[in-house]
Amino acid sequence: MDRSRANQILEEWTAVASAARRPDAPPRPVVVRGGLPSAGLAGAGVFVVALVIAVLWLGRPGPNGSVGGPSPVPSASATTAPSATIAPSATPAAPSATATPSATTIPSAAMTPTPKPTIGPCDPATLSARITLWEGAAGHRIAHVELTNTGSVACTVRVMAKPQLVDGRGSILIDGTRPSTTGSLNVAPGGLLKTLVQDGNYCGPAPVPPVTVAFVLTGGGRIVATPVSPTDATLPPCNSAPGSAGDIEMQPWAR
Amino acid sequence: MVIAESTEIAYERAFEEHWSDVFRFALAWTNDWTAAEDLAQEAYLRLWNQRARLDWNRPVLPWLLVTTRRLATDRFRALRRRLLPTPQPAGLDQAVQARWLDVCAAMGELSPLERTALVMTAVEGATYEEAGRVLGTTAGALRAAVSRARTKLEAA
Repeated sequence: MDRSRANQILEEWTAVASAARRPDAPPRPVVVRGGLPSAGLAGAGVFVVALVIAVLWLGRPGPNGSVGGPSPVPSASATTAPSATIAPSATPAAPSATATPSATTIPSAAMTPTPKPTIGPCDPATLSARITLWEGAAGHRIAHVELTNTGSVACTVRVMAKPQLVDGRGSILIDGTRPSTTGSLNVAPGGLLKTLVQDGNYCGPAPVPPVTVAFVLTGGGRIVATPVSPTDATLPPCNSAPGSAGDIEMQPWAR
Repeated sequence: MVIAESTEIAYERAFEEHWSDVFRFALAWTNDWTAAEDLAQEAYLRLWNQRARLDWNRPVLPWLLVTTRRLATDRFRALRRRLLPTPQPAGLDQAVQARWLDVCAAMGELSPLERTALVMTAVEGATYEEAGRVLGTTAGALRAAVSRARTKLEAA
């Protein structure tokens, strides 16, 4: 059987690609629940009707001179996906590379008559970080880190922290710098943020496994990520004189 | 509520039936295992977000593939891939990882269009017209891309 080189490569590509494992469950965005806790869609509908009647009674027109139907009114529940603007799409032309408005990301307090609850900074005790993967790079190592809000309420996380490379005894192998960037992200209960931490030039003594990364939070507190394994000793190579300082930096936390 | 329930079921079915197709498409385009897994995940999140607007009576796979291609060509994502090294595929045993690195190196000689056109037509069995609709180009251009791809692989 004469197989061309191209066909051999394609067969091997197919065989290896088939080793990919489908995740157990299809992905769904994290839903931030809130507002109207005891009322469902029906309760929201009652509220909207009451609001319309109140506006009519007061003689105040809406922003466009009319009191609108359901379409411009956002749903009171963050999980009610279908809206009055459903437009059957016959072609797969909808997706774009930019963010698509999601029915699940409507601010939860948008329709509530009560004041919008203030989301405060996350308690470090309710944040859990873990390294999911180390990548090798020329002279550097890059940790993929996930941060989960394990608490029961939404909270905010500063997008930048001071990263550290630490060993199993808690010794700081490489210390990062305090971030100058501000800004924070809301994290729902169970919500996940990701970042990459890149370190380089570790010229110190052999550390005690496991090696992992830690984040010193700007608002106080410190989170140590769960290492990839209890014996992990991933270190960047020493690229300069023994004892010289290493470098470590992180990308902003992102969804 | 009936609509919401049925679209949820359709979404889950689309995940079970087409995840591997989406992953392979993303893998062909990016030649990057981790990026392909991320792209598949993101494509399904887009599908979830659009589920109420889609016509579920039509095949959903073309939508997923077009979405994946558009996500893959997002300029910020492409920039990140250039800046960061290609990660090792997580969760694969060492033997498969080694085989992947060999295949990845050979396929790395091809452009994303050449790779994907070749995989879609030679592996997935798509016609040039079908592949052209997903890849946003003509059947003629794809024939040329596949020809170039084969020539490059023969020399690899």
